[in-house]
Amino acid sequence: MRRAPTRLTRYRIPYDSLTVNESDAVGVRVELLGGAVELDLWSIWEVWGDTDGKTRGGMRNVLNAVRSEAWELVDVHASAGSTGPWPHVVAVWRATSADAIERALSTGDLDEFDESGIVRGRSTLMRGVRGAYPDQARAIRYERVVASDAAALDVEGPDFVLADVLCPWQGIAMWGASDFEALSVREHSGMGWVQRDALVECVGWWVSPMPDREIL
Amino acid sequence: MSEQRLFMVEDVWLRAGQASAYLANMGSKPRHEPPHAWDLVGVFNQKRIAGEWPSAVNLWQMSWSSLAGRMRHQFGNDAPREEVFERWWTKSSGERSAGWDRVLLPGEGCPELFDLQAKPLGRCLIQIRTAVRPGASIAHLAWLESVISDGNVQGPWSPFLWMRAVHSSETFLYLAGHSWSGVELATRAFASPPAAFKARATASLLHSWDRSRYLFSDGQ
Repeated sequence: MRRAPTRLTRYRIPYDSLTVNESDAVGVRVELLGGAVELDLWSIWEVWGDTDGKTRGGMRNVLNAVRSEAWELVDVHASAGSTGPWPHVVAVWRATSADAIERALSTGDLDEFDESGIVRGRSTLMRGVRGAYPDQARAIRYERVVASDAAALDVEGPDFVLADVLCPWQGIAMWGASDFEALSVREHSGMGWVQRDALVECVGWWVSPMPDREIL
Repeated sequence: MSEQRLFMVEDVWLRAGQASAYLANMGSKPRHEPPHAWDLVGVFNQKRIAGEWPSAVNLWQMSWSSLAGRMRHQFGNDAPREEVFERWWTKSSGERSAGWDRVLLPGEGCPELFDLQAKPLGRCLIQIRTAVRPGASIAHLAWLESVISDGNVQGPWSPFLWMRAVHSSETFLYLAGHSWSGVELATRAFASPPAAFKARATASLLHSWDRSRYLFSDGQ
């Protein structure tokens, strides 16, 4: 079952707790909102299953079973193997609060995730830099990108752009559509960042929110 | 040259659900016997939200002579079998599947382990592994050194080690802290590598296992 879109999670840091000024904040864009700073943190997991272990539906089930105080599982996307990796899913987690992240890292929250039947995972701590998570899309082009600098990620085009919190010249772009046919039309019109000169690397593939039925 | 300080980072690919067993076995006894023993700097558990998993990281300090001596001992025809090492290998084979090790040269100003032991930096670790264009790793390490030496790293996180790989065009940067507080701001000083490096980085959050004696004292 796909989870309902969640509320926008924000946390605020008082001015006097910041040790960074705007000139320092090269990679972590801080937005001054009436005396507070908003950070929007995500953790994106790419998980490779095994044709003899956990396939996409199996990975969805173990991810849905994870309970975390710090992270809310927003979606598990099935990667469309014909366009990229397989069996493979992308888990989209969103932080509930900064305090909770620190506490969760200290206590091992999420570390006990059931890895059986899974070959490999890659996680990136991210923050939203432009647009909004396409929670209504039924087909999405994901692009994992490395740019020449952080500013090169903050440009129009994708529905949602996330930057790596720890290496902010890298990120993920999401381009959504109502279904794969509409995504194909959007592709045909020139969607995507693969041809951008400002990028050092760009690898994309299609994903879909997981159907309710069991899938391989 | 033979006594020049070197490091080795072992990127260990674990089998599913074996992290605790592997970490407990790792470093429980010296794997290498004198005179080619290496100094185990730390054993680290991969945190879930940033990095590649399941995996663990081991960090060793050695010299060219102890590296070469160890390799000669391990692969030479005339070396006696090392029962301690073979027992460890056999047990850990059920806990890990493969891995990738890298020999590293420390950058200018990297602290001595003896100094770190006197004032431990903490058991929370951020590892930034950066691949740069071929020929650029020395310059990229110099850029890391300049950021550090200019005092641009502030707050609760401290530079621990900064190094370049001997056999690949990569650098490694480690930052350490006593807690995870402010982790989202820890690398801001390194957020803008010059574009000419064509830097592609992987950030990992790591937690020191109990035998990382240079990073924390008992009770920390």
